[in-house]
Amino acid sequence: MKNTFFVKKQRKSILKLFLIVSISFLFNQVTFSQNWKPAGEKIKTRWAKNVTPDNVWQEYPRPQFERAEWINLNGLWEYSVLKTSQAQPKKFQGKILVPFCVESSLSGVMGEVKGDDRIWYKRQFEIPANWNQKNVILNFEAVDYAATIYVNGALVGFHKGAYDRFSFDITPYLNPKGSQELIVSVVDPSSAGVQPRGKQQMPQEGIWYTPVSGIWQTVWMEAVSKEAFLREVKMEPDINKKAISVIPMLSEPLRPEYKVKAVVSFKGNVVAQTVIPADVKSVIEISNPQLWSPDAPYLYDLNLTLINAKGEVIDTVASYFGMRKINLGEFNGYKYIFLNNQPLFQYGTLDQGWWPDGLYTPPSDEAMKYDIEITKKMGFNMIRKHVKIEPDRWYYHCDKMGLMVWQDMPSGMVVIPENGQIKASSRVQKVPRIGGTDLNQRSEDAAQFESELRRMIDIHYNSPSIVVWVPFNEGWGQYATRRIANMVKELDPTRLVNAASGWADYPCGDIYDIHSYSAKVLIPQTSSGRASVLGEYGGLGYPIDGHLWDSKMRNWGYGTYHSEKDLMNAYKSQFEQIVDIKNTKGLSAAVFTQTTDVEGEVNGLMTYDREVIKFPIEKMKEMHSVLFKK
Amino acid sequence: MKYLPIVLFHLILGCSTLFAQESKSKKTNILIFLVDDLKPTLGVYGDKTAQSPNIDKLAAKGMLFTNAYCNQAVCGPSRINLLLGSRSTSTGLYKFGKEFRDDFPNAVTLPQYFKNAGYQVESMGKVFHIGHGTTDDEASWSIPHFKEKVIEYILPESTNRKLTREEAFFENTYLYFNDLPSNSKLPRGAAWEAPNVLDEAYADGRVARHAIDRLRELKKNPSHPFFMAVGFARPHLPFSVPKKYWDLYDPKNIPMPSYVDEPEGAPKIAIKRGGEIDQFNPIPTDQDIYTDTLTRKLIHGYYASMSYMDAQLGRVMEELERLKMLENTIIVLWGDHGWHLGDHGIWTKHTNFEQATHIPLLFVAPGLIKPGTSSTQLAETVDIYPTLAELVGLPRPTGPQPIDGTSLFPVLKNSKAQVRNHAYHSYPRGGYLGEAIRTQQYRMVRWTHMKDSSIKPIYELYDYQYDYDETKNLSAHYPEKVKELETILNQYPKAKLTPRN
Repeated sequence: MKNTFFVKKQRKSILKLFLIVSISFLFNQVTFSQNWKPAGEKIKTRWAKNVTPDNVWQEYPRPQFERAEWINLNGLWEYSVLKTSQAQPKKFQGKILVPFCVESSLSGVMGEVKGDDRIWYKRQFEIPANWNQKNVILNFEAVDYAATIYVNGALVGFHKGAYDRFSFDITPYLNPKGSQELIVSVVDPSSAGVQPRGKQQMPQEGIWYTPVSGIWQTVWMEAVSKEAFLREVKMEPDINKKAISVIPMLSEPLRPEYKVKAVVSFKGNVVAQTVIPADVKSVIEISNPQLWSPDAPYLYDLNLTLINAKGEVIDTVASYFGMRKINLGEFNGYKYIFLNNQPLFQYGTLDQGWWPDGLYTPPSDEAMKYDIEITKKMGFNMIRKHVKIEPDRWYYHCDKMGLMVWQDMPSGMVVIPENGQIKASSRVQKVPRIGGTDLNQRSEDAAQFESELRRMIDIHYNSPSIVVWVPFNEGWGQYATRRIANMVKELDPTRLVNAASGWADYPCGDIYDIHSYSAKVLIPQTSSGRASVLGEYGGLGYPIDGHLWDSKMRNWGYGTYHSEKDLMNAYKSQFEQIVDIKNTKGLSAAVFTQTTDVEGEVNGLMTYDREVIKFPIEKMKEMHSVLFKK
Repeated sequence: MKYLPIVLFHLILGCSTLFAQESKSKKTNILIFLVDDLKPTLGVYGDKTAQSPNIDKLAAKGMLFTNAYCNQAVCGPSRINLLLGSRSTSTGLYKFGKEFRDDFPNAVTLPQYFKNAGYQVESMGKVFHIGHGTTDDEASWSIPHFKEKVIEYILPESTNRKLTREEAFFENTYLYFNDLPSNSKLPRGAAWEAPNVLDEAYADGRVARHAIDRLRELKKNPSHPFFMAVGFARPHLPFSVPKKYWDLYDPKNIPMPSYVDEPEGAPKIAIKRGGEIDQFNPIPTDQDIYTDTLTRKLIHGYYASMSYMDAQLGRVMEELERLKMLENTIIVLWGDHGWHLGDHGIWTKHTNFEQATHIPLLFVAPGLIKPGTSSTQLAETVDIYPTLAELVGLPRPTGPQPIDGTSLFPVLKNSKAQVRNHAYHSYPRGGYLGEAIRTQQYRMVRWTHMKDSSIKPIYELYDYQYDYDETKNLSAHYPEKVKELETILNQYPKAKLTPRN
């Protein structure tokens, strides 16, 4: 606001300008807004130029569990990147725009974070007067990788894991009034560690991209009742029984006098209303349910109210669910993926969720939505979210727009140095494609991987769009395959498990998945007792000048084309094979590589900056429609 | 001891007629093992998984050829290459279904050549390819061939007691029954079975038994040399072998293919999909990539079948030793072609790739070949005929069919000797004939359209020093190398381009 004010005034008179510039210079000491700008000269998306420290990521970050009272802490923070051996800095090096990671342009830093570095963040905040009788929960949507939190100099807590939300009740650490200080320190081993990190790699090349370190999703606070509040809710739709089961879970174990009022509504009309106990599974009937599907992504609103022994409302949360079922059925003698008791071919894009300006963090909610919209418009009904877990709002948009999601677990594997050096030619820790024997993971690393895997499943359990979990991809860090596949299935029996996409296959899980990047699309065996899919194919490279991340690096695809026509012909030829394999060989799903170019991998449907759509949308939609004809 | 001075004398002179000389007092016999679909997945070839104690033991007595290639990677033609001494490119016999005597009525086959030289010539098991419309060659043998089954099952559930597709082919059922449904209408038999039975429950066990019986008979007439061809059917599909041979291998330790994609830049015609393997249950039809479970099972079956065959070969060898015939018997082990065990996503044979064409070949000749030696000489199937002739002091065969081979005799005497710097093989596919020149480092394949000479040839080039798995066709990158190898190919008479069928 101050910025705008100054700018307007500046136009009025030179004298005033002089005065105000002086004032603004003084203000600089306390107002950071003036000295933030995107760093570096790399290509950016159109949304990047609208980003300001005041409007950055203002959307509610937890749309499936929404509480009214909250404060967004995104914006300009102070930061320093020091060695891990150094103590907390007294003076910070500069300003960073949270929630963009240190390496990104939009953070204003575009720095490098090595394995022996520690990022320090600092900001002041205030607690509104009307939160005095409440407890304050501090939420981090995602910090890569290990974060330590201090409030007013006191250690609040520690968290490992780049992709999952974590929260602390900071009430005991708060000053009675006035300014509060938040300090966050982060270390991130990136590709030198075995922690789940997906495609982040140092140095980046080919299919491996710039690492992401530090805060990369929204930081925020919310106010809850000191007595108790709703901690989470677990929902399972059952379309056969026309019901939704709901387990509202509380922050405290409470006497049974505490009740939860659940109100289900559809398009604003209440369709079910009941009072259910907390921490117990209750089944709410949904008569004549409107099923969720890509064609008709109907969502039901669920309002949960926590009522104490005295009958007072002490918490209210807004949620939603979709009535849908995903399972394996028999179709034309093949095991096949069914949605809502019907065979439905799933045609998706391999979606990495990477941005030239924000890396892991889309420049804005609108930008994030755009990728999903284009995918939908091109006639895909599924997205394979590839070895990355997105902000919750991404799943919310898929839930609303009707995209099915295959959710990969981000891979965890070390890049093995050659003669002590990490080079482009270094190999990641992986198992052979065929007949690979599992890696032997150290128990602590395995415990961490499995903990993060479980967090992914638990946090997104209620999202109707997610239909498949993919714990391993192409052998990267693959270990204990059968046990992990069985574990995922037991954690979530309501979805399908694709144990090892495209690689080292074991007879476990629900899906047999091969990857084929040849012009002749390979046909997966269909008699494995599982549904057969092409978890990746395509990868058609088409570099477009002016839209390249680095025109000097190797701009690469699994095959490279130099005109729209050649590209389309190659796509058509492979797509026709997909249709044939689907029609005659029982193929359940196929995933085209990929949604956008990412850094030097130029095989996107769109360029990395989302400025050029390489495949005509309408033509694609029309072509793809044959997959879904009954 | 009686022959020691003679042996020394000949070694000093380096004389090539040792066996001929010797045969005057004690005849030199020839025992040749023809093994169906056997690739060099053998202990002696450095395969750490393979359990092949008997072949390993046999190799220790003689010379192993590490760079031996078939002339065409399919049973029928490959056996004609061996038995006529002619490459398919010289005869035009690329396919099944026609007798070679239709084109070469007066051909003198390898066994026939020895028969004409006074040998008792016998055969048992799979020697000539019998089946798919071709029959045995009676003129080749002194007594009728002892035929055994190739497709064989013991478990009723393997066939549901029905005539299966492959059995109908191999038993030439179509020659005798006109009213059979077309082959694709017949049911598929199992790709493998593993019953708990004795070795002689299957053909190779009975072939070994027959060989043993015949050796005992032939022993009775030591002055009459013999030429015995023993053909084993396994590891040809189906992998029907007793359970104990499966149990030799832990499925966990079965080696899996390291590269399962098509070579980058390979022409479509070079790639084989389906065919043969999917004529068996439960192999999926027209599907390219099998699950690891199925892949592992098939490779396990191949190894189990090889070990079963190895045991049968061992029985024959033990009897030969017991009969004290080792010292005057030349022994040859030959695989008719290699086998794709899922490499490049390909199964069985029928290609020009390394795995389909690289064959096991070894010679044992006591007194001449230094035991436990090996040679890197590029050898071909067609070389065996002139080599065996020279080994026993017979003149080089002259046909009338084309005799294409080079005698490996100088190499057998001196493993460092080299008689040729390449091997030449071929395979027809999709209207093209692919002719290959394999050198120590490279293989160049030229695919020529068989009918339309206006269509430009297609080339492949693989570098085995740096890319043994054939992941990349380098022909576009090294045109000079292609040209150099094509010059070698052009030195041969033009290949017969019209397959006679």
